[in-house]
Amino acid sequence: MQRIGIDVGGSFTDAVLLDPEGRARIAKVPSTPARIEAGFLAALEALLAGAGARPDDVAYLAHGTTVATNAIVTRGLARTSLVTNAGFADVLAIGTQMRRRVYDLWTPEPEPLVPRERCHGVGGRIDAQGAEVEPLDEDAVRAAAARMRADGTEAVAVMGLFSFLNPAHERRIGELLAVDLPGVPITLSSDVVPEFREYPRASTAVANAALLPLVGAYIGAVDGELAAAGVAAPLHLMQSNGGVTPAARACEQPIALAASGPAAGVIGGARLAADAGEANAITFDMGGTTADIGIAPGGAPQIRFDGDAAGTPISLPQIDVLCIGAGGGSIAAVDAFGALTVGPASAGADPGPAAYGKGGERATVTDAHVVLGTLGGERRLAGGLALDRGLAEAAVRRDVADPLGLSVEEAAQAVLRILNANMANAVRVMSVARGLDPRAFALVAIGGAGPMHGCQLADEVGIPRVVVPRYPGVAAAWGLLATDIRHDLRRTWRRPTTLIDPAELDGEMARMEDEARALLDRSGGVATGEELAWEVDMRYRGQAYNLTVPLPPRPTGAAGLAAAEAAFAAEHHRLYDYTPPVAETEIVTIRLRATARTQPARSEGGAPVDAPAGAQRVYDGAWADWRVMARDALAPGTPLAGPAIIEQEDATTVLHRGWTAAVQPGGALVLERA
Amino acid sequence: MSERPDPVLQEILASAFRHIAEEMAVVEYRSSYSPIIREMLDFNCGMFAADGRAIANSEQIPAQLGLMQFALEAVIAKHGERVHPGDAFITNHPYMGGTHTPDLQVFTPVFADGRVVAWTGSIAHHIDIGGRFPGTESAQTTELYQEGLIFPAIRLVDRGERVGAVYELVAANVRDPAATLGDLDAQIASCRRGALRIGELVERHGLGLVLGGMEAVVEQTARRTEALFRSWPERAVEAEGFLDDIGFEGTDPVRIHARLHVADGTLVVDLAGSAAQVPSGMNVPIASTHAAAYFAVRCFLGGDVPHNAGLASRVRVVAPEGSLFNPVFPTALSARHLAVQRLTDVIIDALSDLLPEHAIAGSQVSFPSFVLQAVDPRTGELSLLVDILGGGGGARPGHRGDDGIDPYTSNCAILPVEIAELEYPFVVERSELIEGSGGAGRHRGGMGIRRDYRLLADEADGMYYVEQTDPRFGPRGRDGGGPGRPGRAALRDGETGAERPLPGKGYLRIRRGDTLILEGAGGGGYGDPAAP
Repeated sequence: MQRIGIDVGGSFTDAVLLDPEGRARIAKVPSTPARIEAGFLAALEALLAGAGARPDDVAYLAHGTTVATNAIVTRGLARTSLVTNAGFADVLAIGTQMRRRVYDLWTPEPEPLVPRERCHGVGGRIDAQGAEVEPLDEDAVRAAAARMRADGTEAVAVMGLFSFLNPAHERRIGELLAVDLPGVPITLSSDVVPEFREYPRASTAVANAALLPLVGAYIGAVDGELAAAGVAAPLHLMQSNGGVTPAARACEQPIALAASGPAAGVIGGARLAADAGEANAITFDMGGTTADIGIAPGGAPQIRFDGDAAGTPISLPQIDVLCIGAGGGSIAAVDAFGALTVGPASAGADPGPAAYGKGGERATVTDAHVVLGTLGGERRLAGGLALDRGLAEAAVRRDVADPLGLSVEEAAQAVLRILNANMANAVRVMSVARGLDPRAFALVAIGGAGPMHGCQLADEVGIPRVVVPRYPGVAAAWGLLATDIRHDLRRTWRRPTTLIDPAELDGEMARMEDEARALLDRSGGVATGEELAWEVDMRYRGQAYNLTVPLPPRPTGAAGLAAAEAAFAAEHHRLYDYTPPVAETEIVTIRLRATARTQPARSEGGAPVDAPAGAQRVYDGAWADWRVMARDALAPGTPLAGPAIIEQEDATTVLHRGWTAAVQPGGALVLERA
Repeated sequence: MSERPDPVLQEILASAFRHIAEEMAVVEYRSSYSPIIREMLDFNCGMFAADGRAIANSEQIPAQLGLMQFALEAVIAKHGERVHPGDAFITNHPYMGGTHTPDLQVFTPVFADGRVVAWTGSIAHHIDIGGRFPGTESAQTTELYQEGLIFPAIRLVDRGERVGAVYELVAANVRDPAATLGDLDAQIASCRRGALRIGELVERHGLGLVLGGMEAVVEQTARRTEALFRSWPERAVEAEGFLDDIGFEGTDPVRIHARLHVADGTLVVDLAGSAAQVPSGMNVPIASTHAAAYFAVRCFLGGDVPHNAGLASRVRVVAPEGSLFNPVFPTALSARHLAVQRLTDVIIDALSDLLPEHAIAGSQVSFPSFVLQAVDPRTGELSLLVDILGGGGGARPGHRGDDGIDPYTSNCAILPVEIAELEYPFVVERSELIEGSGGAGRHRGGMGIRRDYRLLADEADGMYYVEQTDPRFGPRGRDGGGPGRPGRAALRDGETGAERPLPGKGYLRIRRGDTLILEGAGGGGYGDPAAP
């Protein structure tokens, strides 16, 4: 039986197939933006053909898609309306009232996902204790429904104040709308975000509603193609929280997919590092435009509970990834005052770097590599693209070397130094700024450009080891197979810790547990080893920013609460170096993470093949001949001392002087400072 | 001692300095207590050279940007050589480089090779620092001594040990000691984090290069600023605006006037035409006067000029002693923000004349705000509710003004309704944009925000203010655009249901069921609305 992961990106669709013996096969095909499911199917067929397998051999299929992310970024969303309390219809338009660009008086603030004219206030209030203080005005709901019918509303979000304490009004509004607006999908904020702070809750509910028709249709189309192709395995989709969810659940909560793109890279990178024996991993996923930095202490990627998508706050757990504008296409420029910057502007893939010869004129990171010889020469990029050294040199000379008075080689090195320093700052934000020492971590270099910069980035932040997985260019697709089924539940439940009644707490936890088990049951037998993990958001009374700490399992009791409180105090001290004089705590939100395993992926290398080693002139302070090795020809145990360049179909690894490389039995390449 | 880094290392160091300031800011807001810091982000962090010049700032609220160096210079002047590792200093004295008393500034020295090589600092608006009015701040104070505790650049932490007497004094004099002391802890933690990071940077690159990098950051910014000023027209421009009154009902409007010209690569902002200081809390300490000028100028310099001592060295602010923008001790000034915002608008108006391609209509500067203290019947504890409402942004040549923003040197978040009701004995009855409040124009001004707060406790008292309630001084339209609708304050009586207008600024005592209604002004419109 085959297990397949397919990750559809903007340019390429990456796919990984694992056979029953754990051997991997990869495919990379162009994405098909007009009909995304076509590219998906092409990748699937390429894998099956390569493996000589039949569609009904597929036992499990996980899919990562940016369809939700792109829809939010491009505002290609359903025509959505919001129903909320009378007097608060501008909750989205007001937002936090903060300006995003403080010194820019001229650029307008982004428009909310739902314009004011489709935001409807209806009478009825729940108070801060969850009690109804004014009954719901059902006539007003019906009147709003009539306006929504007239304006062609395609989806509705409902956000009532304090619905996280008492969802009765939201539910009743949902019932009334379902009658008056048949076939129009509805999102209740209390279903998606049962947490306090009305604006992020409204914003998340609206984004979810706006995605319902689109994501539903997409998943329906993929399901249709799979059925037609004879694949019966249940489809699961990657979520922002780093777990997968069954397709039917994704159709109800599409917003959970919104930040799933970078998540798969972090999950895949962390798992591949664990396979290579590294408990602590910093994932470094670098492509043409951006670099995504994630961190997984003890193998567990860090999660954050507030995020945003294209300026819209999204209150859902997501893998914490720092994305910076640093990629192969990042443009290098010197301003009138002699300051050299690299990125965030990117030449993208088209026209791309000057060396592509497709009309791009600006000097980029890729051009710097071509000048230095780490790319180019006789070697071509994935897809057979040749690199023009003359064009790269001309661009680097004009844009960087001449303005700074450097030689073209020094200028190219300067570009990479700035780039590496920018990425090192990002690594520090994800590690030292959170009290984690990067020297205790391994760097996992993935993405098309990650393995080119692994050694230098590691040098910059003092990381001793770099793991380059067997197939770094398709690590996100790999992550799809490495991930668990995961459902995150949470409930705002504010109480001073000392006043909590353990029986009341257990009742709340029991209700959450029932809900979680029902969700896990929807994965239809592909998963085993269900696990429930409890956490609690806690703070010192008076603070607003919570820390999330583990909560012992049911029955939690007073001792369990005390343990959580102790964990909180320790974490607060670790992060902020002090304990307040009055150290009374309160809990804010109970969180439940329900996971189930889908046979974890194990990476195995392909068999070594005979590939000729070559040589390449490279500049790293002086010109020298560097060995060029074929990754496929490296066998476990082969020690290799830098400098060298290691080529493979999906990426290039640059092994600098002072570094050694060794192939692990699992196929990963581990680079160490000598 | 200081070594000049090569241009590439220079960029790397400059970026590291900015990251240090930003990390300090994260530590501060995540561990602070007052909603004004944790929800509204009314604070800033920065790193400074050994002599106090600003090197890098976090950028939460511009009203506090570019002025910490005035206070730090006072700390250095006072304590000179008697500074040790593990020390922290506190200051808020408006006549020793501070702003207004609620803005507490904390500084810690950074040591290397046995001497001070840099400083880190944090400024945060505390919810209450004692004094005559809950929340300390009021337009109706008449001398500094009514404005709460004054810290004249004193030691707060001595070689790692808190100076207990200072903490005891604070706890005994402020209305919410737990929040104030908690916020101070957060400020110290933030400064320490910054100092730690600077130490690591020195370890990584060597002291000489880090010091050289700090110098170069300042020089580069000064060069950049100078070159941009030299590209501006040399003619002088001027603009004026008015505050509604001095803070007491029936008093006269207060003139604010700015005359700007570029001379030899320096921008002179001459405020000599502004009013003399006034007998109320509406005066502006000189540090805040500079912050207003820096903000307005930076908007027109474009995004590439960071804030540090280099920018400051190219902007000369002229404000005669004894005037609204440079009052003399012990003149009151706790509500200085209203005049700061109006001054910013006047300077932007003048710069719009100088650089017409960037002309913009006036954003509202009504800044509706209040602090009300009440005992919460749910807990029996005293609580201080503070909120700040936005209004309309000015319209631009190609687009309407933003709705509901806190413009210019301010950028506070509005308090979430659910936080207001969970943590304070109030109900928010509505929170909405005011239809028609934006000035008319080819592009309309942004809309103001209205919020109604009904009291659930037996009684509450405190101060409130709304500037720009006088229609003569509403947000200015531009190129034929109309003015924004003025701001407004009103009170609805809980028993009779009758609504009565309130003066723009005042002290308020309300009872259960009473509703405070505040409205932010709309923004000015751009272009003739009748033109095709």
